[in-house]
Parts: sequence; structure tokens; C-alpha cells
Amino acid sequence: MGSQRIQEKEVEAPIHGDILEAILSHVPLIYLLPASHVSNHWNGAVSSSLRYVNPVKPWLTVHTQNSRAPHVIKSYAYDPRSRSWIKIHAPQINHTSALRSSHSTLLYTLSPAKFTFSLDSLHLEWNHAPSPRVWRVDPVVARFGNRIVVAGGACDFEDDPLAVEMYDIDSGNWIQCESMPEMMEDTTASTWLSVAVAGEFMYVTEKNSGTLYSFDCKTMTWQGPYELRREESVFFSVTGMVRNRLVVVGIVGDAENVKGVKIWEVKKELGFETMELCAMPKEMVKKLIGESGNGLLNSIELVCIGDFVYVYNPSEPEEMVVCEVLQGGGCEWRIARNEVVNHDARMGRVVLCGGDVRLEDLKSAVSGNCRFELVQV
Amino acid sequence: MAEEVSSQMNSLSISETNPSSSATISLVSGDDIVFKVEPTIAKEMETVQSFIDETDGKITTIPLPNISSHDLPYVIEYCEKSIAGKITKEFEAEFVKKLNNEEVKELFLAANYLNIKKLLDFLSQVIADRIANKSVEYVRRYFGIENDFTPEEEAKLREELAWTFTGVDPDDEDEN
Repeated sequence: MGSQRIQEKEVEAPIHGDILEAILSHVPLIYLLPASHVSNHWNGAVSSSLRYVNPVKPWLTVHTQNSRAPHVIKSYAYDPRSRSWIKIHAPQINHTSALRSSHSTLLYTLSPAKFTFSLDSLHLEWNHAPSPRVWRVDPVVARFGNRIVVAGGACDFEDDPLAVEMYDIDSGNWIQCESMPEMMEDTTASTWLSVAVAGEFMYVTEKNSGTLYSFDCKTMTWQGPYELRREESVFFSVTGMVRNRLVVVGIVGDAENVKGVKIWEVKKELGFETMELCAMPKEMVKKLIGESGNGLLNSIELVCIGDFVYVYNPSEPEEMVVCEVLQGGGCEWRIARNEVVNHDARMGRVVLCGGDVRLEDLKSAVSGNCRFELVQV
Repeated sequence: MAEEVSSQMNSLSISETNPSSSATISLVSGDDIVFKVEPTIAKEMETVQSFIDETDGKITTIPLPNISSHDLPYVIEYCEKSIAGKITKEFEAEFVKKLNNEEVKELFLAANYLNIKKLLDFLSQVIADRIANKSVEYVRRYFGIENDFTPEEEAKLREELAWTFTGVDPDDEDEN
């Protein structure tokens, strides 16, 4: 009798086991949340599909801010797992100043009155802090665990343009740190610098020279300069973290004659020697340069999250090149059009960030009144 | 119907080797209708091909009790296009337009049974697309799944995660 009932059930729901997991591997993460509420069996199939068939991959988040009405922010995400764009309907945070991002995981705003920052993967929760003592326009900002460092970018009228301060989230206090090395005097603004955080260290690289400095968060002191030496002539470098590896992405050649874009791993223990990981395919370099505009590639921006490196040209942001650095060595390149820029971001700021978004994060976001919707391309 | 399908087969020049020299394969659907197909088509269906290989090609009539005469022509059509290298996004869109939800599910199970990887992948994506943006209830009905959460668990989920139960698109009933 018992076995007959099971048999009946199987006839009723013939799609189960491996083939159900195969179907679920094609379902975008946001719809796996409803799918996990279908039944206990489906809940198990969702977990198992995410574990073995098509695992969760970190999201690229794109936030557009209306330049006239800074409180109007729209958030989108690109999920490389299903190669789909998602609109995030989150309760509005009433930002009054420009949204910025740093080292691919930190979002913040800074005004003379207030410093706000968000550390969670979907950037739904915001912390509010008093502004640092030295007023800064465009500083380098980096997060280490419960501390946030704000360096340089000071206003002209401040005594020390190289001043560095650290905010302790637990105590709510700003601590003064050693100022940035004097050699950086002309380039303290984040426009000129690329920031990466590895453990207790912040690496700050001058984009044009490829000169790197490191800041030890424990001792609150600076080291460097170090030269990121590469065999070819690189005229623009930006850094990021791929898993636990410091990488530098550089444009080879010169601005008038771009020869290529390459990724190197930086070996700190070998005195910041670089080792080539891979080169971007030529046709993708062409996409980055773009057809309109002046046909030059002066600069690139990066978002590095997990094993993914998103490279884009800030003046042609529609075309984004994604590189997945594979665990076993080698890289996979592809193009991901930034559909959001196409949609409605032309009028304002576009801020890119990344986050390790798991099913659990979506769950808590949904219980916090957040909704997700697939963007139909 | 069977004749019609086999005549379609003949009109297609599928393979560069002379197809008339090799014997055709007869696929027998669950409701006993015979479909004659070229051996190249059978090759696309791993389950059929391994049956032929096991009998050294002596047996050319293969019963497919799990597949109806309604579904088999679709499977054959997809395999033909696949051999001809003519599976385009347009073809797939046209192909799936003809199918209702029930047929998609049946074809998916047929593809799984016959072990046709391309068709299985394609239909997985089709089903995934059809359940995206839909409510939990809709998915339960679509797949014929019994809700086995306790009323307490269900109530808790509904309260905390209301969005997942309402879905974005209205549930279209009439498709089945």
C-alpha cells in the first residue's frame, strides 16, 4: 500500500531528481527563492542544483543616481550564473550626496556633514557616521573588517592634503593615521588612484604610472613606492582582488595605439613582481574602445568580485568585458552588455560594485520588503 | 501521419553519404505508430543508437513505449534541424511557440528518455523561462506537486516572504 502511494506520486510529478536539478540550473537565482518554497523535495533540489550543477556566482551591482535628485537611486544587478540582469526594488535610502564605490565591495557617500557606507552584498543596509575631521572631496576609501580608512583627496584649504583617518565602526570614533607618502602629493584624489584591499593591507596604485603603495591597517603606516614592472609598456593600470590574489589590469601600448589589455597577478612576496595571467581577446579590446567617441582607450575601470573581473571603459560604459579567472588556471572572457546604462542611466551617475549574493541574502532582503525582477533584454 | 513524416524525411538531404544505401530505422511510439527515420536521426537519440549498436544493427525497429505519436514528430523535427546544423534562435522560438505547457513537459521527458542532450538543454531553458516570474502556487500546479510543508511552515513562509508567493506575472491558467 505504502509503495503504491509513492508510485502514484511519481506519476503525478514525473520531473524530479537529476532532471529537475538540470531545469533549476537554468532558473535565475531570484526565482530559486520561490522554487525552494514549492515543496520540501524542491527545496532539496534547489540546494543540490546550486551545489553541484550551477553554483551561485557573485553579482555585479549597478546603481544609478539621478544627478538632480540624488535620493532617486535605482539598483540593478548582473548575475553571471544565469547571465541575466535583475532590477532590485529596494526601499529608498534618502541619500543627499553622490554615491561612490571603492574596491568593488564598498559603497559610500561623503558630505561635510555625514559619512554613510554600506557593507552588505546587496547594499541594502546603510551605516551613518560623522564626517572625518579633514574635509575631503575625493578621497581613497577602504574597508578592513570593522574599520574604514579615508585617505587623501582633501580640499585645497586643508593643511594636510595627505591626511589619513580611520573610522572604527564599533567605537564610532575617527582615529588619525600616518599621512600618505609625500611622493603621492599630486595624485591623492581617487580619480588618479586604484584601490585594492587584501587582509590587513590596502594597496593604492597610481593609475598612470603603475606605482604602488601599501598601507598596513594594523600599524597604520605606509610602505612603498613599489614599481609594478611588466615586460611591455603599460600606460594605465588598475588593481583588484581575484579571490585572494592581487591582480593588476593594464592597457598595453599608448593611448593613441592601444596594443591590448592584460591581467597580471602581483606577487607581494616577490617584491611586487608581476606574472601575466591572461590577455583580453582583440575583438573585446575593440568593443571597449567603442565605435563612437574619439576611438581612444584612455582609461578602464574594474569591478573584481570572486573569480570575476569586469572591465569597462568609463566613457563607453555600455560594453563590459567579463573575465572569469578559472581556479585551475586560465581565463574565460565574454562580453556582457550593460543593459542598465542603455535603459535609464544616461542622465545621472552610474556606480558599479559587487557582492557575494547567496540565496539566504535574497531571503532576508525579501523579508525586508525588497523585490527582484528580471530585466527583459 | 506516419507516412507524412517519413515522406518529409526523404525530401531532406541530410547527410553527405548516400542515405538511400543504409536501411531506415523504425521508431514505434507508445500508441503503436511507426515512424521511419534515417539512421543519422537515430544517432542523435543516444538511447536508440545504443540499442542499435548492441544488436549490431540487426534490429531496426525500436519500440519507444514512453513516447506518444503526438510528441515523436517534434523530437524528429528537432533532430533533423540539429543534423542540418540549422538550430537557430529563430527556429527554437518558432518551435516552442507551437507547444503548450503540457507538451513542453512531455517533450522534455521524451528528450530525457531518448537522451538527446541538445534538446534536453533547450527544453530545460524553456521550462525555466516559463516558471520565472511565477508564483509558488503556479509552479506547484505546473509540475503537479503536492505541497508537503506543514500548515505552520507554509504560513510562516507566506508571511515572511510574501513576494515569492505572489509572483510577478499573473498566473495564466488557460495555457494547459
